[in-house]
Amino acid sequence: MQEIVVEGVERTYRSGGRAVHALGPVDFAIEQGRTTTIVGPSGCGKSTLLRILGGLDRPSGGQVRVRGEPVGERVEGIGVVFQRDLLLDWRNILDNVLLAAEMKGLPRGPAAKRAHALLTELGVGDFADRHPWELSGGMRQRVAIARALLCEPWLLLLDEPFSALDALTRDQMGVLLQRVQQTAKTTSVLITHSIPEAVFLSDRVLVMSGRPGVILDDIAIDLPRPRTLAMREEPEFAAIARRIRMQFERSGVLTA
Amino acid sequence: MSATDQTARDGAATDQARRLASVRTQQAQLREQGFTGRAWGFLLPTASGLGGLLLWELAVHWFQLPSYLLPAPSEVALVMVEKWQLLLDQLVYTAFAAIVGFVIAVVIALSLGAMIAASPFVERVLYVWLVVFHAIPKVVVAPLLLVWIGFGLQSSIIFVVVFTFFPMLVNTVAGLRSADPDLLLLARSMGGGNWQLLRKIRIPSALPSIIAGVKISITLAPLGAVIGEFVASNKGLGHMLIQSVGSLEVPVAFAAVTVVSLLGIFTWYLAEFFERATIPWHASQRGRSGSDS
Repeated sequence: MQEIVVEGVERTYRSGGRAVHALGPVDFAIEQGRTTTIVGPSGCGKSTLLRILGGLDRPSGGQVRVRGEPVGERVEGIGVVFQRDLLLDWRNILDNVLLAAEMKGLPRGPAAKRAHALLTELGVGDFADRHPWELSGGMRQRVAIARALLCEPWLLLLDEPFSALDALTRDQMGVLLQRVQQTAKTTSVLITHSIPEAVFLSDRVLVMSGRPGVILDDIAIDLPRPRTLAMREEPEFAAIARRIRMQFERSGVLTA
Repeated sequence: MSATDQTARDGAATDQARRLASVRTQQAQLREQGFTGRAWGFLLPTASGLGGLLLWELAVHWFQLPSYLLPAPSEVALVMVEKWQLLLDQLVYTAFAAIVGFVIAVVIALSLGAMIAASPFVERVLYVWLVVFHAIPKVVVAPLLLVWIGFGLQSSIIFVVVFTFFPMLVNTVAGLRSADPDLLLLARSMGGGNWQLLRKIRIPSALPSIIAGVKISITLAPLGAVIGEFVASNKGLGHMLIQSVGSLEVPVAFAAVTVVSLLGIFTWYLAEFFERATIPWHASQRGRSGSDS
């Protein structure tokens, strides 16, 4: 089922009296329960696109429809993970996760139970009563993912969630995210700069050009799941990675 | 699992235990150093202070300075013992003006600050007035209070308000505006409304800044009260100070100054305590509570 339909979406910013055409027009549809990844160079408007999908930014032209309904001021029931973990220093880990439930006015009891379960699943269950500054970057981002998943969102938006982490932690987080996705089956849109990460995590990759960002390529990834890190060395995986890289080379984003 | 694996694991376990033990001794050593460090940090300032007083005492006797020029510390102490009842009365009067004025200033600064942070319209209307108000040298116009408000406690209180509300106002506005935009976006993505954003994100984000303002202001409160009493009171430490200087009772003036200073020191530590109690999570407070977690 086509859950989200993006039609001719564009975004123009005003910057110092000048209009900057940052994004689009882009057209695509996102299937329910699938992980779609958007890769593209910095400044191509992919974060803007993600925000528009979540109703956190308004397009200058075109529209986004969710299950047929045009998106207005707000999209209900989404989970967002940003590049920065954005944990609140004045709350312990459990209360940070519970923020998502508080904002919706949900009762604390059942939410806390689910929060504990999520933290345990993500490997940070022992830190529930610690404070954010006592955790490493990777652990903090796990907490941020738990917070995004707390209210069982139908759509998960991931805006470069692992780009502030070191390479090893990043691989670990990829495996972890895949496992969570496998059970939750949430429709996800991921933004990344990393080609291997895009191929590893997605059912589909959209390759975007530089500003104004338009879609250069739309690649379905049918590699079997669950995927392992070792699969990255296999020819099928490498072939897809090459196809994405070639797109960047052809459009001048990467030069050989 | 093979036998070699098992041995390797045992080896690793003992290795880890040994490392843990050595870490513990290191920590113990550090604590010891920390203790001597702390003792040093306490002893040295105390010795320095006492040494200074001793030099002052000796200098007064050596040069045979008359007490109307510079009284010896012992003489000031004697006056303080003799006149403790009078000094206490004045202290209570001054402290009362300082506290009441400060509380009023907190209420004004917080509500005005919230309004300015929330509405650009309010800001544009009020801003120019606040700048003008702050630019006026308040000590110079203090005598006008006598004309406008009259003699007594209310003049002192108003002077404390005028003296203390500006730092808190500025810091409240800055604090409420400093909330991380990404954090607000995140809270909105969770479905949070304006009120929830204010309560759960903006106000906690603003607290460190607001408390920094409170800390500056609270030490200005006794000062404001004393200056108010200089011009428009027949009671309080400020009045006592002015009068004793006028009649060349310099030891009494020194006693009053000492009491005012003690009040200032007390309010400072009160502010520190308040800070630790309200924002224990802030980077500036971490590791100060003495807990290990």
